[in-house]
Amino acid sequence: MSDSKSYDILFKIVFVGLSKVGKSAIVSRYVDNMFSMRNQTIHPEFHVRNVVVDNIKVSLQIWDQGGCDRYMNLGNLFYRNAKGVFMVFDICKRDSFEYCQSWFDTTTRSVNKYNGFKPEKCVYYLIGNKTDLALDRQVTIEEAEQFSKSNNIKYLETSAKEATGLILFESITRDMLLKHTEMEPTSSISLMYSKSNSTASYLSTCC
Amino acid sequence: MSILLNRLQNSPKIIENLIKSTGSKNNSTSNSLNNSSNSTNSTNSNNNNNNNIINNSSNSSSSNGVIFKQPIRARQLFSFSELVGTDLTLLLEESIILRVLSYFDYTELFILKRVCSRWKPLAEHKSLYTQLHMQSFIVNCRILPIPILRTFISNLSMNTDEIDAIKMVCRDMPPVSLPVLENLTITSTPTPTPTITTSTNQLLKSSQDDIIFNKSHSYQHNQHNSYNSSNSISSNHHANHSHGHLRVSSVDESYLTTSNSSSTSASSLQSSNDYYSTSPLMNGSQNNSGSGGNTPNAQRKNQDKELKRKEKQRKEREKRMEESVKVWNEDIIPNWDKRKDSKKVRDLVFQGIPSLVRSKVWPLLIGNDLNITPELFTIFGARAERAKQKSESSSLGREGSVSLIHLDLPRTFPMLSIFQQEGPLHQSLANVLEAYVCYRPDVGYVQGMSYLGALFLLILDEFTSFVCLSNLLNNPCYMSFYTMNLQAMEVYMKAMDSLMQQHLPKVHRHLKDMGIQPDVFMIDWVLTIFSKALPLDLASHVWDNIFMDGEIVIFQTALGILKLYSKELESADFDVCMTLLTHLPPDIDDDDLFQSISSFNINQKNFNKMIGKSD
Repeated sequence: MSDSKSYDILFKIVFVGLSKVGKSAIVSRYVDNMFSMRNQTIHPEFHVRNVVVDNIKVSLQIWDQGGCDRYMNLGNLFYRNAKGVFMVFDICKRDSFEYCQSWFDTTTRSVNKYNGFKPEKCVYYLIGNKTDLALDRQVTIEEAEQFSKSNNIKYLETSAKEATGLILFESITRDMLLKHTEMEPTSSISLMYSKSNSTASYLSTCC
Repeated sequence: MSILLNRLQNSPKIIENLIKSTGSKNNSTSNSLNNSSNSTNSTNSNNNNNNNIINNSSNSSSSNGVIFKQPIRARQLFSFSELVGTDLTLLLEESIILRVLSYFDYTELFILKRVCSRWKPLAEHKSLYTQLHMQSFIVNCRILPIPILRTFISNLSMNTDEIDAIKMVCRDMPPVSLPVLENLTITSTPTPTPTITTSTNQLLKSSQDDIIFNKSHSYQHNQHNSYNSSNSISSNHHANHSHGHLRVSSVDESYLTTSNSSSTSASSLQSSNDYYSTSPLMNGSQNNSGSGGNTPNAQRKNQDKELKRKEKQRKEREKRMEESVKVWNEDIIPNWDKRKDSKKVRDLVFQGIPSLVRSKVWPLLIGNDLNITPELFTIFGARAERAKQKSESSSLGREGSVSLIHLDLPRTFPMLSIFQQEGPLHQSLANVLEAYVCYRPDVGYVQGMSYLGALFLLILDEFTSFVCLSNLLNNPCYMSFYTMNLQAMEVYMKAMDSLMQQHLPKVHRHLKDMGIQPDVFMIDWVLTIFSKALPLDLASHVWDNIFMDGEIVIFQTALGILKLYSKELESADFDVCMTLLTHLPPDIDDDDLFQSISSFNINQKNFNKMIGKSD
């Protein structure tokens, strides 16, 4: 494809979750550092972000899909080669959390089916969005953590509006890198993944 | 009161008094209603504010008794912080506010209508736009392309505090553009009777200017893919600096750079929405050649030339449209059944139905094969009400999806702020979509529908919109997309694929090599029939042709768009292509696109064969 490869490794991240939980808001907060009333997402929105983690240039392809349940049918295109999946729910809407739970099955199955690789190669995150509205919280941290623990995935809370919790992109990048090296130890990219998890200083983003 | 108002026509001074008297009237009513001295105080101060407004506006009107629309800076009249959260305007009668508004320049009206929901319909009132030759543009279709709106606002050189204040009152204000170039400054010329001819020029110029910014921004946006020039690094730094909040210094800075050497600087101001994301590679190459001797001046000249050409084209198009209105009204519409298949009608539709007659022609073109009656619409409206109250599980079909509709309404053409909670067409759109969901519970509400309903509502009334939406979607192509029937969709995707292979082999090969399949862009384009991807006026032009010739036009248009950007799509790498295809540049030119579309003459029979349709 591009002759001058400007990155060492490319990861595809997809966003899933019910309509209006803030998938696109998280993406646009991360990509453009903007929070605004946006169009509804149809299918699919595509963004790229290049980050450098531990001297490795990573290109993140962020795919953002409309939350309409009908769009679930379109799994094929959407999940192909995905290395990271964010399942987003709105902490003020119980049904969006329940949907994530029931969706986890479908998602792993789809990734399995379309990717041709085992689902454990993919990193899943459960994201509780809209912590700025915590007063109306309907899903407690405990139950979200319980669900994520039982499925061995990570749980993070964010607020796209207040730009909190955006560490999730960095975190998932590290996890994907880690998984990548586990899966392909012979990979040409030598990873010097530092165990000390001092976070932000390691990650420099560039537009 | 009305007599009074009539007498007031020529004397703004009297309005002042009138307002005063109304103010005191209100004062007394509020006194009698509410004995608390607090409320009286607040009312008094509000009245003072009102008087201030009127004083200012009457000063600005000319002394010879004729009402002039002299530009008044909105900020001279009131501070926005005073306005936020006050019920200042609630004390005045609508007719009085209208009178007051009539002293404002068009640019200011566009600000005023964004101040609060009560002012909005007033600021959009027909009577305020009497001198506007393109009245239909404002009143009939209410479609305001975002560059135009931004130009209006940017011409009102506001300071950051005011921008912040406006941001507080309207959540979707378009990103405020930079102060206007000297040679593009327009509004400050005090024209007593502004006519659209001058203002169109201004708009054109300025929106063109915006586009340059957009391009340079998007260039930066994609730049991260190749960490090459030092330019890009500095502009990146810059962009990070000014992200999120508007800071005057950075605005000026980036503005200067932008004007000097067009595409190296990045104006990140407009990064907020998807209008600006994509970059045709062209910008990159432009930049490269720029360093190789193309001076900024020469670039500037080229831009000017291009600008003038576009302007001329647009003028010609407008003139053609104006002329065709008569033909439509006097000849074609009254004799629709006889004329509808004639070549003349086809030609006229291809050049675009004038927005003035669209409201009559669209229903004729779409027809009403389903025989939907107003009663049916009412019945389904009532059924939707019931479905909303019932729990979702009780219904057999997808009637429960009515509850999803209200989530999407504010997110439909958010920049128009017409479908927001307090917007004028919010309820109408809800009614149309809810009725449709109950009419076709097997389909239910699917994201994308709100765009179709919205564009219909911008042109037609509620019932007709429902008729058109139902009849339009009653078609195998849209149905398979809206029900996400993968097998049926595959047929259309394959058709698109082979059309691309046939007509744009290079693009086809390059995209295929990169693993980009037609569904990446086609799903969005078909579901919203380009209304999300293209600027609204262009989308409605495409719709004209789709209603005439059917879904084949969707594929033709898609090919046309791909051809327009074939230079990039033949060589650029994955990220650039994907970004381009999912966020089309906002500056697609009507003439260019339709020229490109008309270069594809797809045989209807072959097409039917492709999609497995027997004729």
